[in-house]
Amino acid sequence: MKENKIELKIQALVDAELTESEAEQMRECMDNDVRLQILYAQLIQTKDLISKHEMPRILPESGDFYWTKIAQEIGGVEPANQGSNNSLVIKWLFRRLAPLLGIATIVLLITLQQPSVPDLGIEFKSDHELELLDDDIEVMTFNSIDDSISIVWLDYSMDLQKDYMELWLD
Amino acid sequence: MRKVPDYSAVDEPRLVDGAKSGDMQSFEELVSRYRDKVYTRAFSIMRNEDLAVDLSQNAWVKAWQRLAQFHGDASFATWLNRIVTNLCLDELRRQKRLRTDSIEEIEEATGPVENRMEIQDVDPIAKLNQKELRERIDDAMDKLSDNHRAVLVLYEYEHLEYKEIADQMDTSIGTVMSRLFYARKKLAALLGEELKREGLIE
Repeated sequence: MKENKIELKIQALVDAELTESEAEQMRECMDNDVRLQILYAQLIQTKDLISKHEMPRILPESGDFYWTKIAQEIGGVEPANQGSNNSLVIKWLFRRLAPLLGIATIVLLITLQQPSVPDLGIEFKSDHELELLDDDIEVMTFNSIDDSISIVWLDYSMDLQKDYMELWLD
Repeated sequence: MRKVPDYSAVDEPRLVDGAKSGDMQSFEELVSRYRDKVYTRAFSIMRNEDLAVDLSQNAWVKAWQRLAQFHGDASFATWLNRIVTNLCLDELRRQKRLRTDSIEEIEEATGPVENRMEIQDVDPIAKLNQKELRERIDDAMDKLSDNHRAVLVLYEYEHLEYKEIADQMDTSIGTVMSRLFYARKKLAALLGEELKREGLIE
């Protein structure tokens, strides 16, 4: 094994990055080489020295000023989980409400297209009423008490018309 | 009258939960508790006050945006340090301070630098107090290249494994091992020179 490679392996042994068999092999190498034993000891010493002595630092600006800049960046932006939950809820609602909204729109359009009161050219006094029925036959009745008049419109299909005719003939 | 909660008395998991549900005051308390640590990590890598402040603030913004990804597998401080470390590495890459084809790297691959530099016995350093020791190690860190310092910080302070460092730095495990070895040797040598100058060793 090249010397440089052995040194790196010694370091890997110090860092516990070798498999058990590799570590055993390196320990055997060290047993026969004083220079490697010294290197091993020095690497442990250096590693301990560095890892335990990171220089602690204090922000060079006030905590309030530091936070203000962060708050400006995140202001109005909810944490990702909340935002994503909200958008999921919105998507879920949209998927389920969209068909209902479509049906509601159709119903509204049909309602708006209902026949209006026909213009009969008659001047009615104040007290009158309009009655709409919606059974098998579409019936629209106009009653005016003051004018003593009742007008009834019947609207029915050809099938119904035939049935009624047969009934009368009987 | 509703009592205003004393956030400084609230434990970390509750603050994290509060922040996750959008409570800015919980998050502000977390910032207050860990801002120096996050700044320290950024400075350890960047060695520049302004950059370290900016990057540490960016790390907090990222943390807020990614709170949903924090599940408490590691501590909140560890999770934050990972975020700021990644931002620092990105910044070094952006500034092209993480070189992959430098003479230094070529020498590392072939070995002469390590062979020329004998590792120093740092035992006399034990005579120094903790504060003096930290200052000397910090001075020596300042003299390392960005590549070597980054590897050292990731390994010794972030406690990442070789493979994880290689992934983060887009390099091979062999290069990580080589950089780490060189960085340790150089740091020990710099400390040795300093101690000689101060007469602590002959």
